[in-house]
Parts: sequence; C-alpha cells; structure tokens
Amino acid sequence: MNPMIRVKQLSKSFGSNTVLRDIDLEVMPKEVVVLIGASGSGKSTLLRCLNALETAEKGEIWIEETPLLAKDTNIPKLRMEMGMVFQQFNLFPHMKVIDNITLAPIRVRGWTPEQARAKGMELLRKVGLETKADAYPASLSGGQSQRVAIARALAMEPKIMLFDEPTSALDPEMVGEVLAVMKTLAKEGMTMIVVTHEMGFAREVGDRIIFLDQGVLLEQGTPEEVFGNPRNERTKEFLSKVLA
Amino acid sequence: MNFELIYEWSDLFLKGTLITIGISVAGILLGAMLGLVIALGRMARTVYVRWPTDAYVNFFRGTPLLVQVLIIHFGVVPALYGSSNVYIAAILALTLNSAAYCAEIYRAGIQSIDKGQREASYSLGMTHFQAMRFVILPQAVKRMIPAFGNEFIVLVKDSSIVSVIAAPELMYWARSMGAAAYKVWEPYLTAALIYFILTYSLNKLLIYIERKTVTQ
Repeated sequence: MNPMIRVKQLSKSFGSNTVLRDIDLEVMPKEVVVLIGASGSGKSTLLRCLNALETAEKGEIWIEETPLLAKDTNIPKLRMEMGMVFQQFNLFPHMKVIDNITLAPIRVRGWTPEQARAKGMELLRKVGLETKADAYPASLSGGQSQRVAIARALAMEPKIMLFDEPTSALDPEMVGEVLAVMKTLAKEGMTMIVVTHEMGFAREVGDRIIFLDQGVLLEQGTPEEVFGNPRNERTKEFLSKVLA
Repeated sequence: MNFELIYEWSDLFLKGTLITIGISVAGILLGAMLGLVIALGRMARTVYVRWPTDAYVNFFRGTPLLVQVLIIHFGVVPALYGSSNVYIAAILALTLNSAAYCAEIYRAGIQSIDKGQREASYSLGMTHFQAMRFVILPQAVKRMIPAFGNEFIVLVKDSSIVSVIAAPELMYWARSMGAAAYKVWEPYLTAALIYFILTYSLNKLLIYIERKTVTQ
C-alpha cells in the first residue's frame, strides 16, 4: 500500500525563526495520526503546509502521487481531496448552515444544487444537526459550529481530513460532541491528521502519536509507546505537564 | 427673494437637475465597477499589476477634480475622439475620480474580512476568484456600505465642478442665471437647495439599504 502523504526533509521558517526542521513523515490510508507538542512547536504549521496554506521553503510533500511543492501543481484541485477543520471554525457567516456545506460541492465539484443538498442533509444528520440546516452560523454554539465545519469539509468527499486544534476554542462541555464526531470518522476509515491537546482522544483514537518540539519531530509511535513509555526527555516532560 | 424669477428659470433648473442626476448615477455605477478592478489590481501579487493601479489611485486622489476635468475635456477626450463632448468628458472624469476612492473602500473592506474566511474557502478547493466572489465580497460589501454612502454623496456634490466645461447640469444653469439676471441669492440658494434634496434622499436610500442588508 502506498502512503497517502509523504513528507521528506521539510523545513519552514518565518523570518529568522525556524518553525519546522527536517520533518520526515508518512501517513498511510485509513491511519489516524495525532500531532502533539507545546504551542509553538510547529504542529499547526506542519498541518497547514500539507494543504499549502503555508509554503514550506525546503523539502518535499507528496499527496498520493502529486508533488505539492512542484511549480505546476494545481493546488485547488489537490485541496479538494483534503478537508480541513480549523480551531476558529471559519464558517461563512453570511450563509445558512446548509449553504455553507453545499457551496463548494456546487461551485467547485460542479454538483447540482439538489445533489449537494441531499449530501449536505445526510452529513448534517451524521453530525446530529439536521434541524439547523436553515440557521445562520451566528445562532450556533461553538460545538455545533465545529460540527457544521466538519460536515462542510466532508461534503467535498475528501480522502484525507486535517484537524487543526478542533476543540481548543470550545467550552469544556462542548468538546465531547466534537470528539465523538471525529471518533466516528476514524472508525469509518477516514485518513486523519489531528493536531490536538486532547490526550484522551489521542490515546483512544490515534493509531500513531507524533511529538513535535521546537520544529523537530522528536518521537513517534503507537499511543502505548508514546504515552506508556516515552523515550525522549522532552516528551516525558511535556506529557507529565499535560497529563498531570 | 424674487420667486418669480426663479419660476422663470425653473425649466432650466429641472433640466440641469436631471443631467446632474444622470452624470452622478453614471459616475457612481461606473466608478464602483472600475474601482473593484483597481482594488483587485492593488492587491495582486505581481508588481506589474500593482504598480500601475497604485499610480492610478495616487494620481486621482492626489490631484484636484477640477484639474482632472479640464485635462479630460480638453486633452483626453479630443485625443480619443477628435472632438470633445461635455457629457462624455463629465462622466469620464467623475468615473475615473470616483473609481480611485471606491478602490480604497473595496480594499479596506476586503482586508477587514478575517483571513480564516479565505483559508476555509481555499481548503475547500476554491480558487482565489471563487473565494472572492462567493465568500469575501458578499461579506465585505456590507461593511463598505457606509463608506460608499459618503463617496456617493461627495460625488453628487462634486459633479457641480463639471459646470466649468459647460456641461449643462444644475450648477451650470445656476451660474447662467446669476450672470444673466445679475443676482446672487436666487440662483445659488436654489441650486444649494436642490443639491441638498438630492444628497438627503440618497442618504435616506443608503440607510435603508444598509438596514436591509445587515438584518439579512
């Protein structure tokens, strides 16, 4: 089986500040990879490099057979296959929930409005929000907004889902409902890369945990290996802080 | 006040008012359209697009409208058509001037939209154009309405400047009446009142539009 994503010797800096240093990473189909690390460790930047929201200056990224950093790569086409969920939801406030979800399938994939709406309603049922189809994002709670954002990303039928701290902006009582949706997705075999501070989720759902520290991939392994028996001192220190 | 005199000139004032409305509306609509193109140019990545559009805005904001009107009427339009036409020159000058100000309104409006909106659009596979068309502009336009309101009101008032090239609009007839009847108060107060009614109505219309789009 070929990897869905291959990252080779990826480096990225903002000015004189190096945020990613020689990152190597492979993600297999159906794998759930969880990126952990302190804030500023570069995990969000790595995720954003994977769908070209940030441009890495050195190294290679392959999405299936397509080299992301090649000059002639059609980036919008590549992004159609990669859903992304943001910390701040980024729903379109001027559109109803259902129109948020159907916009890209209609305009980008070229589906008919009926087709897109049927798919949109199906996804809203999946995230438990079919009654909110005609509501505007401003009337939703944080947890509801994030579930809509997940439905919106799924509507493009992506092969890969990227989650950038999807629960970090939520009130504690709403974290569970979003994680539940993500768990379902993982069980259905979606390839996922998740940046999160939810260690319980990482341990339960992750196939592989990756620990980043100051832009360097310091340690990776199964949840048992990384949480149960971390080898690196920095990993130990980080885990002792977040699991305390 | 000699109201009889004003009544005698009322046909010409009415005709002038209609022409003022005509060139103002043309200037507003064409300026708003051209302004969007200029604004997108100023936000382009390549300097070859950015430099000329920057220069355009700087020139039209940095020189008096009166000078622009004279250059366009006596220079640009004759160079293009062989002879000048006051209506074409008036509309062209107001359009080009207004486009420079509208471009700045668009740019400020577009840049006020959170960058997460663009990133979300891109992440769904949208192109730059699609993100603008379906996500950024619909939100930005709402925020631009008050600024556009100001610009449109300024444009209606500034349209009086084209009276210097004898475009037969409201101010032209006021000045004609002043010269012919040797009066001050009657022609200029009448003109002032009509301009006030025009801008006041436009302001009311814009407040109505603003309220409608915000509650949507």
